[in-house]
This record gives sequence, C-alpha cells and structure tokens, in this order.
Amino acid sequence: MDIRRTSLAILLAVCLALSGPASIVAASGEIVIDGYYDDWEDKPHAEVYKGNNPQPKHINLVGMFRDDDRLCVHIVFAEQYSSGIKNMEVEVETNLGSAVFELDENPAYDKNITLIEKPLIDNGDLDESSNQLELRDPEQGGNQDPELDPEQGLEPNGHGGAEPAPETSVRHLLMRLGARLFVYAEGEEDALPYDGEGDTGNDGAADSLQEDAGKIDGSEEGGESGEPEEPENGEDEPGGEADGDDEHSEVEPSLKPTAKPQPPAEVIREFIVKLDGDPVGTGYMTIVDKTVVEAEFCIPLYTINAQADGIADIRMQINKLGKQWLYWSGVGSGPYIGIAVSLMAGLGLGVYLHRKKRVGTEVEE
Amino acid sequence: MLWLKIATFIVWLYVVYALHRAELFFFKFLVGSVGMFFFLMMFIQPIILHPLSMAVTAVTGIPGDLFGFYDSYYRHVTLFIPKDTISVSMIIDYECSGIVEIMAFSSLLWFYPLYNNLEKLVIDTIGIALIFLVNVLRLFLIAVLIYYYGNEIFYFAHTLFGRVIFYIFSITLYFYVFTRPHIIRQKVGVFKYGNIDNIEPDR
Repeated sequence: MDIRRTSLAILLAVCLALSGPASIVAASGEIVIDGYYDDWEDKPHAEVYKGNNPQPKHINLVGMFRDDDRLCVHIVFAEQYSSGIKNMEVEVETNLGSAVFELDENPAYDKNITLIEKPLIDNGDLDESSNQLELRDPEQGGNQDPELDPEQGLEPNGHGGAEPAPETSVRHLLMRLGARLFVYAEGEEDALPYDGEGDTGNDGAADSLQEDAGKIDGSEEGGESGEPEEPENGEDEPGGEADGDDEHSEVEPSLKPTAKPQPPAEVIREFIVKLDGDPVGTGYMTIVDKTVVEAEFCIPLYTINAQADGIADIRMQINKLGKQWLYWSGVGSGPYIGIAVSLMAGLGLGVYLHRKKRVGTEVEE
Repeated sequence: MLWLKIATFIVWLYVVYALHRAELFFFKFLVGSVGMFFFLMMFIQPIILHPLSMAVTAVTGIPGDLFGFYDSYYRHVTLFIPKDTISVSMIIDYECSGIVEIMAFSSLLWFYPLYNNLEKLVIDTIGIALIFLVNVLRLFLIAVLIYYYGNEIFYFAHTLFGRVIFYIFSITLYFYVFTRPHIIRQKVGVFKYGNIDNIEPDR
C-alpha cells in the first residue's frame, strides 16, 4: 500500500514538474513594427485631440501597449491632421524616470517601401512623354470604364481617367482593407510625396512617385511571371485584354490610357525615434496623398531606465496631437503594502481583544 | 533545477506522510498547507495564471460594458478606462488575478483537519468561485474609482481600497469555512457572541 502511494506521489510530482515550464507569458512580441497595423486591431486606443468637444475629423486615435521591454505606440491620425510627424515629441513618464522622445525622418531613405494598392495601378500605364501614370480605382469604374478602353482611343493626358476618389473615402477604404491587398515595390529614390511636414507642397515629389509606379507597371510588369505586383488571387489584370501580359507593349502609345495623376498613392515610410538627438528606435508611417494617416513605433524602455523590468507605471503624452495622457498601469504594488495592512489589522484586533479581556477581568474582580 | 523541485516535492510528501502517521496533526497542517501553497505556486501558477487573468478580465468587462465605465480586452488582460483627458490601461497581472488568494485558500482547506475529502472538494470549488467573483468586484470598484477620480487615485484604489475589500471578504470566508465549523464540530458549545452566561451549552 505504501509503495503504491509513494509511486503515485512520484508520478504526480513528475507530471507537475514537467508541466511547470509550460508557462504562458502575456504580451510577448505581439507588436511588429513593419508598417502594417493589423496587430493593433485588438488593442485599446484612446481619443486624443486638441481643445474640447472636437469634431470627429479632428480626433486622433492613439494606442499604447507595453510589449516586453518596449513601449509601442500606434497612431491613427485625424482626418484633418496635416502636420506630419516631424519634430513630434512623445513625452513618457514612468515610475523609474521620464524622457522626451522625438520622431524624425529617417535619413537612410533607400529602405523605404512603397505600397500601392494593386487595382489602382494594374490598369494604368506610363506615358513616357509626360511621365504620368494612370491610377484608377476599380470600384469607380476600373477596367470596365469604357472611357479607359484603349480601343476607344484616349488622348494622352485626356480626361478619360476615373475621377480620383475623395481622400477620405479612399483613406477609409484603405483602412478597412487593412493593407492586405497591397503590392510592394522597393522605392529606389526619394520619390515619396511627403516632406515630413504634412501637405505643405511637394509637387515634384508627386511626379517622382509616378515614375516609381511607372517602373512597377511598365518595365516590370512586362515579365511573364513572378512580378511582385502580380495579383495573387488569380484575377485577370484590370485594364482589359489589351493589358494582358506583353500585349500592352504593342499598343500604340497614343492609345495607352493616360490621365492626370491620381491620388491616392499610399506609401509607407520609415522614421526614427530619437532621444536627445540619438536614434533609439524606428517606426513606420503610412502616407496617403501626402498626408500621414497612420504610424507605429516602439520606444525601448531601457532608454528610460536600465531596470526596464521595474517599470510598472507608464504615462505618455503626444502634445502635438492633444493634451490627453495615456496611462499603462501594470500594478505590481508588491507584498509590502499587504503585509503592512495585515499587521495593522492584526494590531488593531490585538488591541481590541486585549481591552475586552481587561474589561472582563475588571468586572470579575 | 527540475530535479531539485522534484526532490523537494518528494521530501515534502514524505514529511507530510510521516507527520500523519505520527498523528501530529498540527504540524501536518502547518507543513502540508505551506508546502502545498509553495508547490502550487511553483508548478500550477505558471500554467493557469494567464487563463485566470483572462477570465477575470473578461468577467470584469461585463459590468464595465453594462455601465459604460471601461472596456475589457481580455486577450491582453487589460481593462481600458477612457475618460476625458486620461486613458488608463490597467493590466490584470499576477497580483490582480487572485491566484495567490485562491491557492492559499485551497492549501489551507486541504490540510485543515475538519472536513472529509468530498466536503473539501465542494467547499474548495465554492470558495474559489467566491474569491473569483470578489476579485471581479474589487477590480470593478477600482476601475470605477479611476473613472471618476482619474489615475491619481489608482494607487489608493488598487493598493489600499481594493485590498481592504479583499481582506474583509477573505476574513469572512475564512471565518465561515474554518473558524465557525471548527467550533461547532468540536461540540463545546454554540457559536454566539454576547454574554457567556446566557449561552446554553450544547448538550
């Protein structure tokens, strides 16, 4: 009987010991700073705005999430926000110190990734004479738009292109899509229509963007297979039969559909997080039609205090967006307060019992 | 390190068994309950901490949604309390999950020489459920305080107010689970406050 009990106890001990290392660590490596924001979908966002009772178009959404030893921030800029991220200060205060971080352009520009929604460029082509690219939204005509049919003869720079979508609707469309239907292309030069200061004018850059997009759509699209912008879902290329494979190269230049440049062109640009002028982290922002619409970045907590594990309470403010503070409270008050409360309660109970006992003794006497 | 844990566990089992055979019930209770708490925290706590925190967060979110004070993000064990110029993300961590209280209660109960095993199982289940619910109540009150008074009150709300609520409940629970039944089952009298002369002995 004792042997059976002992064996059972040892078996139980082994099972428990083996199951012990299978611990679950919350919030570990959940945020990937890559310019895609789907990992923020299930995280809380606070409304940040200037003034009181703002209109919805003036409300920024800011998410803050502590991920291991980083403080990650996600910003969905207000529709009317146009100041860019340059010189944006992020004030972070913790229980172990505080720091003011600054967001700034990344001087290493070549690593920028240009994202362009596939349907917007598939049925367009580059007019070499004008360096203009047709960008069309299939929801607003797409390749079914008869005016864009090359066989109907569009004039270069004509007005046959689809009307640009309103900025807000396209922006929301892109948000909904969650950057899932985008095609990547490496930007080879400074071709992004964003100057870090919002929509303050950068007309030349817009043309450069078209050049880049033209490379995607023209020179690279001509390949038989393997182009990065090839639709993955097997759809025919928008633009009709004339655009299929190499056929479009045989189309007369005069028949190529060209039109005015069509925003929105969406780009993702890397930026850096600085502390006292030194880069300590990176982030990515999404720019649609010269306006930054979304950004994410992480701040290493060790830059605030070397004992990052001891940081339990964090609060952050981005004054450029609004006066609101975002708090992250990891609690962790430790056992000392509990012990102190217990001692006080025990002391109080002891005093009460002592007095009661003394009163009882006096009554007996 | 694993072998050390296993060896310690086996030694503890043997000591408890020896104390039981020697009919040293007080020491069996002492060593048994302390040891069980220790090993629960060592082996079980890492497994159930996160699911328990998620469950606490999810259930706490129900009154939050009902009254509109806060939102619950149970996957991230976070209660999000937005209010005007502040937005507080309160993380339901190790301390807030109630796991320490649950394991302490279970450890004491299973080595307390009062109930049979079936009774212990039922009482433990009910006790864990009550601790869970009181923890939810505590977190709800903390969140409401933060909602009304801002993050400045967070430390007081969590560290003192919430803790005192939990202590009051714990003392009540322990009284009804340990103290009162123990006195009643000893059959030395009824449990009643007041003048001892007015209490008729249990005959």
